Amino acid sequence: MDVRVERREAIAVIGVTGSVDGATAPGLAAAFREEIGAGFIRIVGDFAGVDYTSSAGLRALLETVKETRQRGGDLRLAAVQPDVRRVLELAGFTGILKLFGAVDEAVASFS
Amino acid sequence: MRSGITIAARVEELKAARAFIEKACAAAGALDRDAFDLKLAVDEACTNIIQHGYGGRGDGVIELACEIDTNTLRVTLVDRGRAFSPRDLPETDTTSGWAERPIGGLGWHFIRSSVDAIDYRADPVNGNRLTLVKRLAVPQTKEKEIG
Amino acid sequence: MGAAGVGTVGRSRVAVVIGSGSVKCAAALGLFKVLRREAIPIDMVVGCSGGAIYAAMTAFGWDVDDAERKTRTLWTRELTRRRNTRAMLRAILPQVFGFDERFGLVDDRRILARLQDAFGDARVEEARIALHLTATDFHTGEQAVFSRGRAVDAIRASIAIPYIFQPWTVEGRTYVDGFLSDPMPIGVAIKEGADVIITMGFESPYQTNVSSVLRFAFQLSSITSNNLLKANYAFHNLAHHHEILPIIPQFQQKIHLFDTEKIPYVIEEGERAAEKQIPYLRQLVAPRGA
Repeated sequence: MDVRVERREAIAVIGVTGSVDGATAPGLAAAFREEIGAGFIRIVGDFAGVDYTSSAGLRALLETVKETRQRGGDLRLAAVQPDVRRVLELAGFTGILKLFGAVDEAVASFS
Repeated sequence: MRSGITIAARVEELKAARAFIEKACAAAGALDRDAFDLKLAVDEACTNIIQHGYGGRGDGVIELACEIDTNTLRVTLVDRGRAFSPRDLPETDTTSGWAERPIGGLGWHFIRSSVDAIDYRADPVNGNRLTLVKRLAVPQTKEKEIG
Repeated sequence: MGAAGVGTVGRSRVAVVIGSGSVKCAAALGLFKVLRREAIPIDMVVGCSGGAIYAAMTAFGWDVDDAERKTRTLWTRELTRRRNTRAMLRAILPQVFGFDERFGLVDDRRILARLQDAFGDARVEEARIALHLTATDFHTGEQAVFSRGRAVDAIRASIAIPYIFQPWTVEGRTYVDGFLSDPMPIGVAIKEGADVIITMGFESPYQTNVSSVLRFAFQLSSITSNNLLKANYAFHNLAHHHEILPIIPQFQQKIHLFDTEKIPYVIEEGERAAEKQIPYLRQLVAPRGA
């Protein structure tokens, strides 16, 4: 699993590629935490390249969503693939976090 | 038709477990969606064994086997760790009011939603055996709508 | 700018969620009475089914007394008096009359007229307080959130009680009672960035005497919706970053679907339940570092 970080003014866009499972989820969580630590509480997760996630990935997302919201920000997802979206739906996550078709849309939603 | 692999009980091996399932599903002619569901269920089941069965220690192995029978895929996971107990399952609190807080287990929720039948036999000596059964959708014929 | 949430400055964003519960939802008026008295600001209101009516009234700035008066003439047994004969014919002879999802045993002209009288052409997005009303997409089963559009459409969709009022179509999509996707839509408040979520919800009543097919259907419906209520509540508590405060009125008597004359009592119990949470609530909404 690969993580690319792009800082756009007040928003951090974190692009993820590959599978998020019990082995790789901690790396994803660490990347999110680093951005939050650097003061980026508005984060967009670009999931165009994520082909799979298990509950481990969901926990990392939930942890980040809560941390950013506690600080007045949010984590929003962009370009989630159908299989991954299904997992999010199954877990009820589509009801509590915002999903967008494209990164620019997600970024714009913060203003 | 039967195939099997043995993986070390470590999260780094989850990828190999999923690849094994993917291969078995392809051999069975399963639809992408069914293959995905089964991969997720096996991933979650292995994770439970790794974390709870072997206490996250990294020792121990998980034997995975896959049997294809007509349109049914049967996956068995055998481990020699601590047996899973019904107490570990998330509570389904039927008596208390809605403001009580039962804690849920996301992994088990996924397993239950992804397969058609689950069977579990505890036996830390000979091997705890978890069986997941998935009925595969038949890709060629379209089922007639009921009613 | 994003939501002015809990941070080093600024106060918590407060949302009030009112779940389904027909006339019991009037207890929300008791809650709003207390919040107003304590000068606790409300940033968002979310309503489902019966709760949608009270959420809308509050968001549009109605005072509690007006709301109470209005409910007593809006939500009465007469709403279900006129049968939808056409629907019944279609149910009995589907081949002859054609059956589709627009099935409801009660003629909905009266409820529509009353909602129209109460809300007119008011639009959800123009409410004083951010308003979100939930219904369920009849074909996909997904929760549908109305944050825009005519309030009457949103409320009519939200209270489309299965079997009673036929599903409601808005812009080409068909909607049914919000409680089918989530009886107490806390998730909406979470998604919209609320920090403190004050929530009032009710379990659907179980039937004591299953004396008709309809009561049988209602019993099954209550079973699933109550399980959904609890499961979702547990999940939302785990998923939320801050506080969810449940306000649980204790009713000493049975309150049935159209027990309109019990509204004053229902409101009192809502007040009582809200008062219990005031000390904690005051703490939660105080600005950080105050």
